[in-house]
Amino acid sequence: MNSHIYAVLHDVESMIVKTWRKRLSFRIACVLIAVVIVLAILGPHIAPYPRQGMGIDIDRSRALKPPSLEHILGTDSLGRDVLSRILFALNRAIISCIVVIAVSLILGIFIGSYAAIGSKIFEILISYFTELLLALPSVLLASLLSILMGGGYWSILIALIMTWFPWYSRIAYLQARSLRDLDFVKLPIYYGLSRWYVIQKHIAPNIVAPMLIEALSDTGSVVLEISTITFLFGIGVKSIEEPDLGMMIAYSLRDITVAPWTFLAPSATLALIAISFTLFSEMIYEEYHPVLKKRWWLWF
Amino acid sequence: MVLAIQSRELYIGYEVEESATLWVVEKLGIEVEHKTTFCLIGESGCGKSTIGNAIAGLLPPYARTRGQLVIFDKIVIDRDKRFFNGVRGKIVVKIPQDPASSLNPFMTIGKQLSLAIKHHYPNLSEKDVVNKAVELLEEVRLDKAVFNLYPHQLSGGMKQRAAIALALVPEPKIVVADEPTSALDAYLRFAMSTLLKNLQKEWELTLIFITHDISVARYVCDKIAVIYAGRVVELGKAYEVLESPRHPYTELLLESVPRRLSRKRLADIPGMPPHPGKYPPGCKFHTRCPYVFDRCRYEEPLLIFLNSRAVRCWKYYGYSA
Repeated sequence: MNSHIYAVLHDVESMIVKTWRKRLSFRIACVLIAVVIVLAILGPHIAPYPRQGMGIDIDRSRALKPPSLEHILGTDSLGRDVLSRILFALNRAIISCIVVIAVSLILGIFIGSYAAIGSKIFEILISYFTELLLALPSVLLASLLSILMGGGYWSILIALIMTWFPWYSRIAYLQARSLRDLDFVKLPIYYGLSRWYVIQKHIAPNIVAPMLIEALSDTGSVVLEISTITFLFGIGVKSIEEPDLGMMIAYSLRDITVAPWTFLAPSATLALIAISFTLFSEMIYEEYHPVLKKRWWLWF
Repeated sequence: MVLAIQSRELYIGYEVEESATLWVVEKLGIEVEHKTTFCLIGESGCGKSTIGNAIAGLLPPYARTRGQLVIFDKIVIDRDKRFFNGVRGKIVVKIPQDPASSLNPFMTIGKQLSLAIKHHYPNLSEKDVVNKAVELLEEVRLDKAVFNLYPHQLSGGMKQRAAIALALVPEPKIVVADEPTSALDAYLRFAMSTLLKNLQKEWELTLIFITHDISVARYVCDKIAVIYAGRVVELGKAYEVLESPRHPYTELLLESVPRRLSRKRLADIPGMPPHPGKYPPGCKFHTRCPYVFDRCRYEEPLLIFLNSRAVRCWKYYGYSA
């Protein structure tokens, strides 16, 4: 098993290192991602006002103060330090994002490859089921689930997993389809070994490397999606005190004319995460699919 | 004398559409003695690999069969039912055509061997498994160092040897080698056929050797069946068939083999081999045969036995040796 992990990581590493050598923007994106992740891990420990960051300490007398040495990014309408709030929110956003990506990656790999090497009926059923889930908007599913489950943060995560794993399962399905006619996959099944065993030993290690890259580049979209849901409906956030990027942007909209910093700081953080992850994935795509080179010009 | 493989009027086909079957192999009747080497020779697309897969029990689910196939007194194919439990992967194994696709690129050779050994001998300890794997590697003349290498670090011949080692794990009695030499160059082809020949003797295997390379067949095999359009057209001992061919197809096939120090122009067989499902009526070879006469076009000849060989040709009808 160790050798599998090593081989997969080696693949991913070689992809990243090759792109790193060739492109400046990829280097910038990598540094930004590293900074974001380090900040997310250390955030709660280095925040200047942890009690304000968690939303416990509220004082209206110091509300809407402009940025100063005391509060580097100013304070919001409830008198909390915006920097501390962002650091706490960042931590939560990255952790939930990792949970969503990891769970949907594992689900996707196993369901997709089972569809490829399972019986014909399974293949058809799973394919249609994934298509069905792909058609489902995650925002609506999250609101439905939060109503059913009593509106916890978990409802967002489950809704996102439900809508993200079909993408991975489709990629895994297509990759496993190209493997299933090879002898090292076909013969064990003919010889009577179980399909789960074949997936674990022979299919998953072979398809996981490109999917890991795909997952890494999806991270930005997941952060955006979570923030969108909390921004729009406040679903999954039980009170205003909880730190969350989407909620912070939603509540700061009221004070946008008086105190623009309360709005700009979380929005800029969100944009930074999204841009750095998108840049990361775009550069790897361009490096490995020369046809797609300079695809991002099409956006404008 | 023990018969390892016996087929009785075996038909093999593939279901292409609902209830439409393409019969690729028809009326196959071969008998293979245990501990001998049997060779199937023919052009590509004549059904050699299909026969090999049928013997190894690796026919896809959409394949259809008729007739019987017997392996060591066990009927494995009976009409359209297949009973390969306990036979497939234990008594009969197949050495695949393409060694690159038979090894998992993400696992070392040693790891793959030990997985197979653990599957077949669940009681062995970890150390014995490694020992056995190294033994098998030595058996196919590979270095011990290969144990820790990945498939992409091996050359084509080494990959083929590793695939053979994998196939020998369950200590099979019958080995189906499906064109084991086609992916190799001329020198390695010789080395590989020597290896298979030696293994056959040491392990007392029945080797079914599928090839389109006549020189390799001459070197390795005891008995030869020449296949054309899914039928055995000539059957006999290797040196007899290759020294004095009886069937016109075999004659033409042997003339198209390049020889050393020969200044003769290489002959080719005019026309194309027929596609499955579009076999002509009568003798299947009459469209390309230089000796064709009227009867060939309407009636299909039976296998005619002449001493130790059999020929499917009207030329020999009424002829007794």
